[in-house]
Amino acid sequence: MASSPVVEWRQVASPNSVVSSFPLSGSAFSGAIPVGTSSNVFSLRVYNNFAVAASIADALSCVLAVYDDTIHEGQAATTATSAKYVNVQVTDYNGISTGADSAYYAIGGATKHPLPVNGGTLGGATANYATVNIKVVIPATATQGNVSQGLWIEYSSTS
Amino acid sequence: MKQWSDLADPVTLDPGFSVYLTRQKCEKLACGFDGEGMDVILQAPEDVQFLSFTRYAQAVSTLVDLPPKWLYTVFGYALGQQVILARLSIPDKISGTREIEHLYLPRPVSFPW
Repeated sequence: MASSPVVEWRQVASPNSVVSSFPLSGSAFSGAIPVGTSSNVFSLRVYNNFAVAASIADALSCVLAVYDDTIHEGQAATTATSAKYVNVQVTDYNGISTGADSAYYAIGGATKHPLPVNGGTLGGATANYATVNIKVVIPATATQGNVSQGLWIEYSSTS
Repeated sequence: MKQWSDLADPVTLDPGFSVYLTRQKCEKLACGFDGEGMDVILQAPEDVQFLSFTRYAQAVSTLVDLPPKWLYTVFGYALGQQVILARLSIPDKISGTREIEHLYLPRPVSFPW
């Protein structure tokens, strides 16, 4: 029986270190994102079985989601979540762009973004990854603020 | 992905059918379907907090039209707010038991504006 998938957020650049948070910033004072503009783009990879361990299961039906925090799956009470400030774009699977997104998708709460590459599966037989671009688009009508949300990748596996 | 609320046309499941969902190492949820195929009762172990439920939650939708190998999102209600309970894949045959894991990996994304 295969072991659970080993899914990790990692940097694009070698040695692909694990990424623990995704700070995004803009061009205004102290990195604030001016309303009506976008933040910098943060690119990273979502890996399954980076260490190439034996008998690791596939991560199936992978979905990118944003909730209010990193604890409460499904919670979308804050404006930044419900108004979908965070945008994602999946650009490739193991460097191959077949099925990849040509645009960004705004996500938050029940509005999620299934991984469009490789049928939504991060294979576990070896190190496989999908590259994801993340940015924030602040509406022109937003009032000043700051937030720490949770960017989630939800998936399943069967045995 | 088809949402729970999109489903229609109830089907009957075998009595005693159950699916066990395991949430990343420590959280476990037993999901039992009744023999009429109408309700889904989700029961979290007492010692586990599951999405802020302390013990029980009951899905409000009927259990319907479950083609095999489909993956569903199971919603429930807590404190009047709809939340995701689990993502559930249906085995090839709608009977028997299968081990399924619902997994996730959240990371903070922060930004000022």
